[in-house]
Amino acid sequence: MTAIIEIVELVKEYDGLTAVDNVNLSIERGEIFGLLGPNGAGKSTLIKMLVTLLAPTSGKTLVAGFNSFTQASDVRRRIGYVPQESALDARLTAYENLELFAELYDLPKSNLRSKIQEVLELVELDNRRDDLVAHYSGGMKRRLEIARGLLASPEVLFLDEPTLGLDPQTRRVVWDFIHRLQKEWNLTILATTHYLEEAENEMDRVAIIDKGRIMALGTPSELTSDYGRDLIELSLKPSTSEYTEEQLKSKLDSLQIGNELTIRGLEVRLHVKDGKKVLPTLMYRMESIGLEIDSVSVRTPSLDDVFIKYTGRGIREEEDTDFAKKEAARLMGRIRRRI
Amino acid sequence: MVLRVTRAIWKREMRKWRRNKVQLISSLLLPVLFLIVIGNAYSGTFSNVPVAVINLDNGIPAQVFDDALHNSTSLSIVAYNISVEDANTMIDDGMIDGYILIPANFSLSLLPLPWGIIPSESTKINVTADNTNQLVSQALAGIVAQALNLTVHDSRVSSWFTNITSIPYQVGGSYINSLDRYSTGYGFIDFLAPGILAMTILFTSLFAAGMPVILDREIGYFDMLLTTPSPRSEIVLGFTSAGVTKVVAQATFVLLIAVILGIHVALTPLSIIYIYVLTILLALVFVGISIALSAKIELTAFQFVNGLINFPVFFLSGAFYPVESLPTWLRSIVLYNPMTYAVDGLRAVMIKGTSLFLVLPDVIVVAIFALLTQVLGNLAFYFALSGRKFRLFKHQEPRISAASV
Repeated sequence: MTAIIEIVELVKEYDGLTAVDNVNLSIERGEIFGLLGPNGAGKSTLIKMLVTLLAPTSGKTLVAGFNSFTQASDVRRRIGYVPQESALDARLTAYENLELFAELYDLPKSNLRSKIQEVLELVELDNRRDDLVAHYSGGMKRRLEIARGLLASPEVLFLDEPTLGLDPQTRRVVWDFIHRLQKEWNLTILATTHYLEEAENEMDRVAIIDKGRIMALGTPSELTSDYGRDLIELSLKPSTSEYTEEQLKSKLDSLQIGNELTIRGLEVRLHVKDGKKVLPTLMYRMESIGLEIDSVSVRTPSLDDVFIKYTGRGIREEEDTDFAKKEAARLMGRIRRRI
Repeated sequence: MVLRVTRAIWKREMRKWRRNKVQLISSLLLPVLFLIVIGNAYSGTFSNVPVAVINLDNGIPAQVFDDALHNSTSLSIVAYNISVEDANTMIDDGMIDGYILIPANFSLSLLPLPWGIIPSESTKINVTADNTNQLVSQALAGIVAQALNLTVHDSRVSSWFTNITSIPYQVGGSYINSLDRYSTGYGFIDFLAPGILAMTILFTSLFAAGMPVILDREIGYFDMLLTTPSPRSEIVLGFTSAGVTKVVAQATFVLLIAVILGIHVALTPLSIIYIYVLTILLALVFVGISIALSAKIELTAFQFVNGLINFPVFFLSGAFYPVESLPTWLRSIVLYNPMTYAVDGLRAVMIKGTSLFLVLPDVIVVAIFALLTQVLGNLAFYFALSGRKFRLFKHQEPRISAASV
């Protein structure tokens, strides 16, 4: 396996705010790599530097062996980019939208039509090719944009939030299609997302990115197993309430089941390795010292837990954080300054 | 293939333009509306101006003059032989725009001594006008002068003169006889048509070239264009050529309507070529400015800045009103306005079908302006995309993209 994207000590600063903070990353040929992080984490900025739209403040990025900044046109010939915002001509048909980009990519005139037809068939829009894009649904537009990204037969496809704003069914369709591309075209795909379940289920490797830094990197299962233990939650029967919390704690401690133990009223939570195997013995031993159990659950950690561990907050809370507010204020400031 | 990117972008712009029917139709109709409304509203001919006539003289010439006033289609006499006080009150009340007083000795002042009297202030026709309305009061003086001119040339006046004096009648004084240099009648609308054509070129160039770029930048489409390996200058040229094409289409429509309306347009092949050469050059001037603006500016700002350019360029070019009416301090600006030369050239070619060598200097000046603004447009994009802009106040990070974040 060889690296197709190489990011070395990359830094991007805007107006004194560091959007990308010393990122080092290497992405292998043929993998689906996910950048996972809340809005404003620096994912889009990172992608824009890779696809030659933004100049880095320092550091460098290599795509297919070429520097995105100094060898931009070599990079541009080898990539497809699907931006976060939908950017299609609504008054043009699907075919016409693709035709323009086929010309811009300087595809040979002789197989221009067949190439457009090929990508349209791939995204299953060939029967709607002469309809105006204005009449397309959100999912169809997304597929058409991906088709556009594939026109030049790129080595790497950059997808910035490919499923943003789509309903769950359509998201499923888009991902199935991305997997087919990876297999049939041997494409490398770099996608950003802020849906945890997508990162967990669809990506080969994931980098968790927050405040411009990579907080964790690995396959979804590596990341979750790194995080380690399963969570066991036990609910005790009310008869146990005669014990004070201290008494409960000393009783449980006597069982020597580790330190990651929290007690709140009748709820007991503990982190253990291999929770499913530990549970029957644990329950037996607890009953034997007189703790009656009402209900029990075992949960293996998800990327959600990993995310909370590395960033200190849930990914969906990010809208309310100070950081997001500052980021929004900063963006508004930029917009105002431009007007 | 030559300019493949440019042609692809041109084709896209044309498709978008053609399919936006509302925009297309209204952009074609606007200049025609301007031509018809302004051409007729400011033509300088007045009709039915309400006036009062006070005739204190019963001599024949006074009678003839009175008739001439009554027969003038420019005037509508709403009161006759009222007192001067009443007439003044009527002006105050806005019922008339002025009154014409024929003094008692008017006829006698036309006769030589010893039959008549020496003309003096008290023998002159008196026009009192509502001078709060400049245009109408100036027009009134002209209309009355015209009626007077008719009077002194009237046969009734000459026979009256000979009857009294027994000497041959001679039109005395220095009355103006205005002659038309050109046989066909020219109205204000003929003067205006080349100006409206230039205005159409100005407005459309400024708006239609930069607007698509700005819209593309706002939705991130422009970034998509930039991630392709297309040469940047070819992309800019694509938008430029699309802008010029829109202008040429619109100009053609204006010319066609002008011909249909019977407005004077010299239709020799050479003059048509010159009209189009000037149209394309003038379009390039303002398309260059529009493209330069679109490299950096946001949508709302673009509309205001456009207005800021449109207004002085149009009114300080002689397109609408003769440059001679401007005060001297404004006239110097007129000389640096490319529109002035385009209007001058268009007017000469369209109306007079002037010998084309005389228009050549105009063409050259507009061409130089076009070259300058085209360079400006490309430079603006070069700086916007490479991040190498001139920084006056604050250091900012370079960026490659036009629309960042």
